[in-house]
Amino acid sequence: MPATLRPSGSLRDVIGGQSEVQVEAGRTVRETLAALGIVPEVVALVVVNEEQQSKDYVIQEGDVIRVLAVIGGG
Amino acid sequence: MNGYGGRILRVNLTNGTVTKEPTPPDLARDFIGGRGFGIYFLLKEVPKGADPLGPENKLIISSGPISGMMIPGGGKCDWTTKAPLTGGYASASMGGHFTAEMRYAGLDSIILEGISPKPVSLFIDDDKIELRDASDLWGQATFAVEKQFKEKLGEEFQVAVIGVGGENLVSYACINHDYGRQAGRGGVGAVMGSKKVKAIVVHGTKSIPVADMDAYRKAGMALYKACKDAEGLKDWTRYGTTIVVSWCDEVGALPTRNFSAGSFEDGKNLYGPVMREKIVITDKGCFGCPSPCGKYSRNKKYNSYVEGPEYETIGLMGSNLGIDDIEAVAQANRLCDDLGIDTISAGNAIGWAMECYEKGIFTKKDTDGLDLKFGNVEATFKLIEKIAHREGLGAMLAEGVKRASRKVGKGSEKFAIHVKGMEQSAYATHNATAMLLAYMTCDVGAHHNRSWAITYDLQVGREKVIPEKVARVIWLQNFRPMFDVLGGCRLQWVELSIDRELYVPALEAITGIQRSWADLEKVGERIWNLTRLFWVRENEGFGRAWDMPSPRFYEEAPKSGATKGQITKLEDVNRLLDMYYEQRGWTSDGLPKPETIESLGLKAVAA
Amino acid sequence: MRLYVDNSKCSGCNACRVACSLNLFGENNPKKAALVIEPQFPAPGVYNVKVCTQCGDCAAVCPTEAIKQDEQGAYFVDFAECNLCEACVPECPEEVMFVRSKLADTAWKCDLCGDCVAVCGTSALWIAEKEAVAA
Repeated sequence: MPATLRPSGSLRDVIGGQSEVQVEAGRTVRETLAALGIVPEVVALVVVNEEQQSKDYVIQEGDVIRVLAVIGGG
Repeated sequence: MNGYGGRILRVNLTNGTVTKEPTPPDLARDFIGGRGFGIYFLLKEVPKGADPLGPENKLIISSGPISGMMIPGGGKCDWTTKAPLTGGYASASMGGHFTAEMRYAGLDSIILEGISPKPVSLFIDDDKIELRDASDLWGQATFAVEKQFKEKLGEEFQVAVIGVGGENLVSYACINHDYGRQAGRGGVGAVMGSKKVKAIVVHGTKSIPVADMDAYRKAGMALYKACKDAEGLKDWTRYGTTIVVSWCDEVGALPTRNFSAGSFEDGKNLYGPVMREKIVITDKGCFGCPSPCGKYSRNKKYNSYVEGPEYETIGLMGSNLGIDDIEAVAQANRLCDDLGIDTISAGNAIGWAMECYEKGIFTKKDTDGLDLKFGNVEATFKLIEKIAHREGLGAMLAEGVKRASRKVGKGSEKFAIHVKGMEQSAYATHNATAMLLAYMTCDVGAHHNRSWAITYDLQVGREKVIPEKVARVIWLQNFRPMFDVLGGCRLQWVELSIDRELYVPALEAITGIQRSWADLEKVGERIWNLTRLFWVRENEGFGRAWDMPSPRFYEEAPKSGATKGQITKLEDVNRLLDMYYEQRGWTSDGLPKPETIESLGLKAVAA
Repeated sequence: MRLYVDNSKCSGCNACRVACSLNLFGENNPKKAALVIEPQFPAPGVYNVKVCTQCGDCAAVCPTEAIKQDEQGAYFVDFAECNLCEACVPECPEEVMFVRSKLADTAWKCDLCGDCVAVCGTSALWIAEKEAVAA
């Protein structure tokens, strides 16, 4: 079962407007973001299966990964 | 008038009289509310050269058309005045419930004028408005005063109160409300203190008239639905602004040891999840907000409660001071809140003082015996008290880092981190040129809220100096502060990325006036030029030099962290300004050109 | 059916109370809302929310039968029939029966419209079946 990446609203434009996308297991979150055209540095929060992880987390089968970018800031 | 409380309240503190006048419909049409009303009254009624702490200055408090409404974020009021900290324009946005209650009492603006001979509180209960003796409250902490008013008058009353900091005219004294919200920056609390107003208490039971009730309810519901459906709502609510502490550390934006670096080696102890686990008990929100950012906390280590700390305070009282203990930062926050001083300016000023001490510019003789090294929590607590009481070293720090460093000299001006005399808030900008420009050109001084642009820097290349970055900063400056004009909060758009078009039908249904975002940004551009003209009027020789950042950001590359070795070149600082002035229609010295003023229809107001 | 609240999730925003006043009176005025938020600050630092449990005690004592039941079984005040006698107010175990004669010439209470649930960003409020009470 592939993993699912769900980017926050501001990032959806980068992946063609979808609210979620299937991603391969075995790569880090950082590598996956870069492959999707998302600059990893803009992502402020990575939550995998509702637990906070760093961008170096290696994605497993079936993971649900939420990434939040801080587009608007403070 | 649809969408408005309907009245401007004038409080003549010298004579002890209060009068109400109808809110002029063309003021509402052209300036809309909040910060718009603020600059209108400031330019029109405060005479050139007025002493910020004297009787001619005015403190203008304004709600806006979405305040107190069923609209997400309808919980902010604007406090505008001539700033004691900078001698220029001050506008502070205060959340909580005060703005809603003002509107229910039928008030769009409250204007404090003159100076009271004795300490007073302003009491507003619908149409019963009076000045009451507050001599017994003078000298008390803000939490204690708010609690007394709530117990005496009831929970429906909303309270805005200054602490000892405001009473002692600290240049960055703030105004407290709802146990943890502030009108924070520029010294608005000192203006209130100079007028001897300890508190404003307000209660109202009136309904706000709207133009189209059905359309308003429909538009409001659509806005709440968009917020509730937003992907990041759960995370944002859980962490509030602390959500970015780890990220700022990672990208080199977390101010460390007086902005000498952008990453803190012990930063992990300040991250959002750590704070959540250690102290947070309630997600506390402002009026009408579906995404409460307030993290009300119980600090067992220091036996105190505080709303916060939020990102800015964590940056400026934590990493900026070399402090890695979130509970210590929370306690510093509570001390500042009770004393009524801005945590951002205070943290920045203490960081400057610590660097002076570490460099030997200050000795223990200058610091009243404090071992003012980075990381010294007890010294930080003591210095906060000294600042509020203008004691010892605190007296100089209470003037702000610009004045303090000028007095001290010895090279300390080079590491006074401010723009226009306002201490820079918590984003280190060694290599983030859009954000650097944002700080340089913000209309109150080095504050981040007008045009936060760090992610944009990262997206397009942080060191790039390109017209697109300048255009982005300008667009954000015309757009974001419009939430302050509407009487609401920008964070639903900023943090949840809801579609801003949803506000358009809501605003029209409430006020009866159709306005697109293009229209609103035009108002934003007009206000931006008016606040610039205020600076020009009030400061002899105002121009380009006032927009320059601290030399730290073009002379001293960080020696560690994510931005190690990275710095912006001075020639690029100047290129950014050149492009900015050109795109804004200003001269190369940063003054609005006559044709720009005219094309914006500002000739009459600017005169 | 009745309204439920989880106090620990309430942020004190009052959006529910504005929505409520809009529903009951067509006015933007949370003083005319049918639920109560009691801030408990500075300590213990939480909000206590009181909502109508649709127990019907108010209807039982109303001398003019102004408090009726709709198709959902929710009790509501028929504004035309209320004579402001206030007999209902002390009967309400939750203190959410409201009379403020300066604001309205009728008593008012929750009619289970659900607008409060719709605007609650923290999902502190929800509507569900009344739980059976042990005899």
